[in-house]
Amino acid sequence: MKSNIRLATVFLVVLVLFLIGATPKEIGQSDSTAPWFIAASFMTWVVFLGYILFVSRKQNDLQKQIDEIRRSAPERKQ
Amino acid sequence: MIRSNIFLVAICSILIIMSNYLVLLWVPTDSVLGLSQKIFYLHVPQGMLGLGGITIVMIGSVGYLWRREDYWDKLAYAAAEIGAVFITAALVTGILWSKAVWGVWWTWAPQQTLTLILWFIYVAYLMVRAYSPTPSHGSRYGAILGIIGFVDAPIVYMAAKWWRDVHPEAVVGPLSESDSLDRSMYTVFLVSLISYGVLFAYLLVERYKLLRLNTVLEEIRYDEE
Amino acid sequence: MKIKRPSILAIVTKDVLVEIRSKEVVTPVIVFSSLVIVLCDFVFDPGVDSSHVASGVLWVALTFGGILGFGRLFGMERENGTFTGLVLAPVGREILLCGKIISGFLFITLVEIVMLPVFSLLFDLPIFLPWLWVIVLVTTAGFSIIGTIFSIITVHGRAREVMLPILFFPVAIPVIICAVQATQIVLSGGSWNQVDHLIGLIVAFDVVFLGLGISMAGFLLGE
Repeated sequence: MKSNIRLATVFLVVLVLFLIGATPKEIGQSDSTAPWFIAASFMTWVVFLGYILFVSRKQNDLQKQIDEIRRSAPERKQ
Repeated sequence: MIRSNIFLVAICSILIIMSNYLVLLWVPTDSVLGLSQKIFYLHVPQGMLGLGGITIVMIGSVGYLWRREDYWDKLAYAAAEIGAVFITAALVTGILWSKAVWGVWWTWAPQQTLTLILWFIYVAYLMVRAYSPTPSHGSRYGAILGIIGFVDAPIVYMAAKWWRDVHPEAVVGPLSESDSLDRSMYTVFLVSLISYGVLFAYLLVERYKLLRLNTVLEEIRYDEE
Repeated sequence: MKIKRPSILAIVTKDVLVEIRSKEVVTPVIVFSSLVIVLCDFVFDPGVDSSHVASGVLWVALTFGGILGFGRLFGMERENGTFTGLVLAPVGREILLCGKIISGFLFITLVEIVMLPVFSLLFDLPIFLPWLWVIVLVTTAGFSIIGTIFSIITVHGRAREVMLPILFFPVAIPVIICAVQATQIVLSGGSWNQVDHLIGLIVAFDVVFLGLGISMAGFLLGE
């Protein structure tokens, strides 16, 4: 369950590093086309992070169901 | 189980960070297209894995119809979701790539058309699973659609290619998708593909486990009733 | 024990008889397709070279009309409670599927026989061209095959009226692309050489999906 949050954190860290590290270096060179690449990278992360959040929500729902079953039928734990 | 997750997450994270470093700071920038050419390292692996996704859906669908074992069905369903995500990313980056390189948002190139149709096939699969009257109907009909979608993909590509021959692109870019790559660019492309591939595998494993857990919970609830 | 040809004929005869009495498929689809053509006439300005727009208009009308028709094919069975009886019939699932495909093909061909003169009238284009009818018939066969398969898939689910087009269009796109192109070429006076590869792809599509449908008929119509 927590691995999704870990992965999301990694993505966010990479995104921030990218924003800090890459933009000043590249903007000096060409580049009216730099915004396209930044937009593409950003949208990629948005799509994948969005899906990870979606899966995390499903995991939380399932966890709640598991807890509910554990509460309602404790004898099953034997 | 948790240990294997951490392992996969770690590998995935390292590969993604590495591929980002290579794309941003190591590989040379194209002199004509500038930084926008680097969208290639995002877009093409996403598209290829989207195609890989429909292949896994087909394998899971055939396996389910043949063996009637639950894990084939769950594999197909998980692969359809992850494939849909990758195809969505490929569509979005493809649109941005198209605008940056060719100056138009959409060119109806065969690959672009195939990506769009594949997206609709994925969505149709997920909707069939969601709107079926019972889960077993959803599994069966989803499997049929998975096979049909896979078989349809090359036919769509061929039809779109012939249609394209009649309606050529308004603007022909200096870098087509089939140009030969510089060695360093090829290396970075491979690293990017592998890192996205590991991400695909990780997401597939997670989603598959969730679907299996959901089924187990449904069975427990059913037993309780 | 099971003789294949009479069983298929029995299914087709049953569908034709029901249609003659109820008129739930062909008549509404003709009216709907005519309306689509008229609407497209307003929306698109045909101009001097109407064959360019006309072929697209024709296939939009036939595609949308066809979807309505295929939806009714099994929709009627479900509404009248005869779907279970159909599935329980002592014939192979492949026979059932082929019978329904043939029924759908017949109905939509009937629609086309009425629609093409209307289309010719509104767009001032010739329709008594043999290759045009070849294109129309092979495309209708393709529509019938996938329309029937997806009609079975969507007939019991929720939002069935919307689900059928959502399933149908992505898979039918190659057939529609080829049909529109081939029709445009034929209406502009093109020869067989220019359309043979397009018709070939449509026929290949028909054969592949008929084969797939027959091999999966048990899963489609089982349980």
